[in-house]
Amino acid sequence: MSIQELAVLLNATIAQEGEDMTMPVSCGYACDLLSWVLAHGQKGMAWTTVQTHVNVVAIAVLMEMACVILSEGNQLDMASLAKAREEKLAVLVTAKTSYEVCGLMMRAGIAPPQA
Amino acid sequence: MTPWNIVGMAKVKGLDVITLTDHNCACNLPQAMLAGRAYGVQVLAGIEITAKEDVHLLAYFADTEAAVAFGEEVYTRLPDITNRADLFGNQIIIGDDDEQVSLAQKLLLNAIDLSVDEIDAWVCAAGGVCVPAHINRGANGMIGALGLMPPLPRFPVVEVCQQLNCSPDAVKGRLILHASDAHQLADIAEQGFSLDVPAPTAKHVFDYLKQR
Repeated sequence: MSIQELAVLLNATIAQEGEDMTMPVSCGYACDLLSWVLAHGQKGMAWTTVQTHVNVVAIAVLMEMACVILSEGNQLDMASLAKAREEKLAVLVTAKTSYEVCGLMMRAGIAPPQA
Repeated sequence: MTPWNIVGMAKVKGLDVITLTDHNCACNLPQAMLAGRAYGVQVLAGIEITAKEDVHLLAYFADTEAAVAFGEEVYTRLPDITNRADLFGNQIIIGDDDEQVSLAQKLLLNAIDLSVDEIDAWVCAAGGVCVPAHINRGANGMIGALGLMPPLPRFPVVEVCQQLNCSPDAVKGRLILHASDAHQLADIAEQGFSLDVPAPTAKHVFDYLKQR
């Protein structure tokens, strides 16, 4: 599933387009502890979180993730969005909870990260 | 920011005692102490540690050597993830003449592998004072991360962000500190926060916090 298709699946708005919205998502993940994500993030990951700290973008870029999904209608501030634009990181925003996002992703065949 | 220009700015602002608490690193303290002596500003040695719950904890020590040794231990407990300067900035360690001598390699904004309680016990065992930082601010503040403050006698001293609301229940019975949490020179506070200690020295401030 591509990032574009994932946005449709989650009924998400695209707060920031990524470099390539047709890029496939390699796995799905839910976590709100940034230090935990630093330890477990993976390339191509679709990461859902309620965390809106400015480091969310930097960490997603560091891990070469496909996209960040902000759940429950959370928003990044302008500075973070500007950073996402600069780094060409896709940021999706959905009203759904991280639980629902994960359920939908799993059902659509997006696997958890492989160890 | 460098240890010298931080202490210099503190002198300009007429601050008696300051603390320098880099994230998960105490390598810049020796230069800060030199600057303190040169400029006539008292510097209390410290470090800001990120617990595995993502909570930030300040640790203050009676002397620089203890703080530096503690900082080295903290650094070993960071995950082996290298900093990316383009994303997180440079992690500069300053030497003589306010010049960069090296860069900290591991990503300092990461968390170490110890919980809030484990760090509290460790700081105490090392003779330091553990003060939760900006307890009322975001996911790195203890209230946000843990939902509520552990009850007294745990954490009798807390640092509270003045710009944000803080529940009175969270701080009841505790000594409240307000810090600049300056990540830029311009953010170093004016004279605004004071402690009633016998003399304006780092030692007196440390003893005052320790005896709570």
